[in-house]
Amino acid sequence: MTTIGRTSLAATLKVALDVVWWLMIVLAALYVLEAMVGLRDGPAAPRVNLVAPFELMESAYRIGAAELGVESVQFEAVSGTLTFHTTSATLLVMWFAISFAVIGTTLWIVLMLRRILGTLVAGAPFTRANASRLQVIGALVLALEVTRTVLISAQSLYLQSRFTADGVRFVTALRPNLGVLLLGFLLLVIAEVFRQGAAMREEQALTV
Amino acid sequence: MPIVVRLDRVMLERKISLTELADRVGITLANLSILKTNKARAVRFSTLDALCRELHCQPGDLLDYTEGHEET
Repeated sequence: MTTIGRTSLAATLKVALDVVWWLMIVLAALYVLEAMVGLRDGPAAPRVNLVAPFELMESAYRIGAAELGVESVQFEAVSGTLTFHTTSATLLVMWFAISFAVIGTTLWIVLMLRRILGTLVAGAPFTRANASRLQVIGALVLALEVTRTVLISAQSLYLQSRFTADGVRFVTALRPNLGVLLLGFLLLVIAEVFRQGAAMREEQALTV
Repeated sequence: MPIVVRLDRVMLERKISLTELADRVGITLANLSILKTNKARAVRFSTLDALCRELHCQPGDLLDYTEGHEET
């Protein structure tokens, strides 16, 4: 299988990404529909999912391994998703605004990737447009991860102030995913490589 | 760029058209046009060799160095 062209790996990846794209469109449409139906239904209050980092109270569990000489084991950096129904307008507006922002950004990233793969299939990937697309994707990945980290901390503060829990203590630690941050920076570096590649291709195109 | 291509002058002296020269040299008409209109960024030695062979000239007949020459 060749690397560029109509019968290439890039063409196969593009088909797969096209399928993912349309699946995401359908799922996003269903999500919007569910949100609208849920809001209209009143008593059947919409369901909200909040990511919640927490600590388990030591008295709530006991884990040990006598054979290994381990007396007590603690859970650390625990996180889960709180799912509940609510009619709070503030909470619902925030929840749906964040959800739509995440869905919209993800769709935009997938669209950029489809366009990049399209140029790869056409055999001309090193263009200034692709460099810009990769730069945008890298910046969005970094922004999404920073935003996600801050939002989860804000959610934790909200949960601490509004929810009571036995055996569980909500924490507001900032825990960014370092792998995702590294990916964002890597994409920015690759964008510069593509920019140089575009300049070299333009030079080569004017070499007789 | 200070390097100016005088291909049009040599072609006129040899009475050869762009199309015929492109065909003889083995490059596309578009590329030869890029060279003739001073838009090229670089010339391969193989291309220069073919041009000199077909136009019976020296590389210096095709290329001038003009300090301060601006691209049009």
